[in-house]
Amino acid sequence: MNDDFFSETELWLFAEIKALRKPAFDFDLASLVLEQLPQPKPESARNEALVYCLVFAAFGSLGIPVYLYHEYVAKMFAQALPAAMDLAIGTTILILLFLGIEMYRTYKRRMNALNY
Amino acid sequence: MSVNQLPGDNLSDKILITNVLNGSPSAFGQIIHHTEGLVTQILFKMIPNAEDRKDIAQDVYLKAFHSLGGFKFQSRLSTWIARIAYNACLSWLEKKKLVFPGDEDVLSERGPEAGNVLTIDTSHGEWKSIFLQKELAIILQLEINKLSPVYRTLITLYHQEDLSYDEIGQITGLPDGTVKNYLFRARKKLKESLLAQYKKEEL
Repeated sequence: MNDDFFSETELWLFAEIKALRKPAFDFDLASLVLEQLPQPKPESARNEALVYCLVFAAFGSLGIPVYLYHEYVAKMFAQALPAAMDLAIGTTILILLFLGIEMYRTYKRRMNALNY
Repeated sequence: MSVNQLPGDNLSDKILITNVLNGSPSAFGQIIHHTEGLVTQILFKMIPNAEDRKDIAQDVYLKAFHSLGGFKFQSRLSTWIARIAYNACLSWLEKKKLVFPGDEDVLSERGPEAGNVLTIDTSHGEWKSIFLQKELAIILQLEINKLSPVYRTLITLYHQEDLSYDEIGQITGLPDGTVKNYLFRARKKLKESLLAQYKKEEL
């Protein structure tokens, strides 16, 4: 604040304003707010373990047959028609794309709901 | 330096926000304790009813909690939360159709710099002898309360909380020039009403 602009009385008035008692709530705002916050879900650890199990099962169900029948799998890819391969790859990409877009839209919708 | 301008504020803000986003509610409790002073000032200056203040204060912090992930560190956290509080108060005032700055007086053509030295003057010794110190605080508080909600908020943020024009602008969304102008008019009104009170006491 540039003191030159103000008269002595005004500076004294500003000092008096500064010295005024600051207001305070007669309740504990922090505890009132904290009890309204969403509580962390206790089952989240169990959910995490379930996700790991599912991922492991998915890799296992795919990996074990491939390991056991790797000779046949290699032949299957080597002897398949290029057009059939292109079709399979194209379909997979399309499905993944569709799933990705759907996941992103769900994520955006949930974030908007949080930022009410 | 005011209470809400602790050194290393930005760093502690970052740590606290990270902890809150990682699911620590106690970190949000610390944020409330750090910023409560400024929010309380704004709420007390803008909302006359204690029950409404209580509701708005909770809403402000719940909104801050849910929007914390979007905080971009372009200002201090206290300024950001104060802005949420100020906007919540404005919405409340709008809903209740209460007074806004500019309703009471027409924009003066004098700039704030030109008008900072007010023409009404009485030596502060005289003022002090008329109003006892304790009385003065009460009278001053009463006269501040007679100002419009936005004026008394600006006076408080500038003179009691030591915020800069820029920080007040960030909170209120007003340009610096408007903040200066409103402050000038608020001071002028305050001084005039105190002088009127002084003359009354003198008679």
